[in-house]
Amino acid sequence: MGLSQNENEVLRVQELSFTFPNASGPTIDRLSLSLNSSDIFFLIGPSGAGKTTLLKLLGGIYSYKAGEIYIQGAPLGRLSQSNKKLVLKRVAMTFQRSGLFDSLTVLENLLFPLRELTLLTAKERLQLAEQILRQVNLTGAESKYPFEISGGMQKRLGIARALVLQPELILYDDPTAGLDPITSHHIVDLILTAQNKKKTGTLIATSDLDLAFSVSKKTSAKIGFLCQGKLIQVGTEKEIFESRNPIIHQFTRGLLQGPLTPSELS
Amino acid sequence: MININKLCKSFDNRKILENISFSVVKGECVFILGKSGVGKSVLLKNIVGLVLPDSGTITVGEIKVDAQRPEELSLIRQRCGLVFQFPALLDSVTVFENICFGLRARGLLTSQVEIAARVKEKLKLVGLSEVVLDQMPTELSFGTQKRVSIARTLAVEPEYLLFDEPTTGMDPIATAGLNQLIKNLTVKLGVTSIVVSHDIKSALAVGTRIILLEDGGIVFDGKPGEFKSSSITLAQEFQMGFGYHA
Repeated sequence: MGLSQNENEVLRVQELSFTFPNASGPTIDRLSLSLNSSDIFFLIGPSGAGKTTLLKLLGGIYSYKAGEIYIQGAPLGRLSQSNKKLVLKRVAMTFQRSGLFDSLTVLENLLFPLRELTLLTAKERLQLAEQILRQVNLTGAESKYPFEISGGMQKRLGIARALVLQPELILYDDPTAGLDPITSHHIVDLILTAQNKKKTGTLIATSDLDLAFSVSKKTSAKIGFLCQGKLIQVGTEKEIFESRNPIIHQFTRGLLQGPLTPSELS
Repeated sequence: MININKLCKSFDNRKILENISFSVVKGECVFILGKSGVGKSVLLKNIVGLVLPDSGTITVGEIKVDAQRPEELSLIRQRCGLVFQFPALLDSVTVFENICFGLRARGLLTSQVEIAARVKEKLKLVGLSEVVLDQMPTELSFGTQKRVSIARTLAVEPEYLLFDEPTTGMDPIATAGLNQLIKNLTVKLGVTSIVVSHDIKSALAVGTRIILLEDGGIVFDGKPGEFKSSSITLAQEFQMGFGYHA
């Protein structure tokens, strides 16, 4: 591919652009980024900056025409449909609103991807699902439906479903949104334990700055600031928190006065 | 005034709310805090009769929340604007139609000019530009959808605003904007607000009073300053967060 590649690199994004049909400008604008298998990367930025869109592009939910996404060296945009599907098996995503199947039980939600995407036997699928349920502390809730469990449990199930295929890259979309501070701690512990156990490349879009900064400080994870589809700064928590960029300064301090006004964020 | 008296509610034999009593007077901005699943949203839904208590009573002004009296219930829902945790917008119509839905459905305004003016006024209040009016909800980010849903609630100009997790999924600037909006509505327009939230920073910045729920009961009811120095473990845990210091 003519791409100098280090073998630990799980994700490389090169000059990626994406525009929604009928939109006046691009939602993702010539964005580049790379992630190693042992990396955690936080994506922060204003509402509407393109965080969820970027995750959906990386997860293969949206297709793009400009730029390229490499998953372990494989260029998603240039692969045949069948090869793309194979490569995307290594990428898992959790959704802002968990994205669970309402009509399936907790256990069935986990068995579904295993049945669709692996060649495991029924017995192996069940064993693996039960092991993951133990890992996220949902044992005992197997036969419940998503609406019968709390928001924190739904988030844990969403994470379990992402972990069950043992991906190389996990994309978390605002994993603690709507959770109380104590439950948020449990979710973050779960994400970090999963990351540490298998050295999974981990990309976390979050609206909780306290979370991003404190985890980054502890683990040296990089933070990227996304604004109008561009990564305007990537750095350590200290570099971002002390950034001289007026947009980043306004954002991290939660100031109403500054270059960004709420109406511009729409 | 909203008065909640000895409210009890269980689901499947699990007691959620036990003997909850408190009143909210005009002009107050009460933040209700508590862990996920403690019954905060259930409490809000009881006020507008979306969930009915097992025992106890709720009155909004002079009207008792009573499922047997649908006309009075409808009046309560008009007076109490509820903002849901998730935007709950109608996907098949534009932002404009979403915001004026309640106005049209209740026949509060009939002139197209007045409706358009009201929609634009509320859109401005939540800090959105008119560009979004012709867009469909699915074209907007989550934070923007959320603000559209707040504009929709404000459009019918309720006396009471009930917010379920208003800042969830919103960025810090939008959060600051919303906090200022709630504060303005409370101080300038005399709107009474009850805000269910996990966002302790907002509660301390905007709330005139904080109620903390734990195990079905009220464990704290007081001013934000008192909450800050409270010795209750849960109150302290809430204030700790992830504890980032630069």
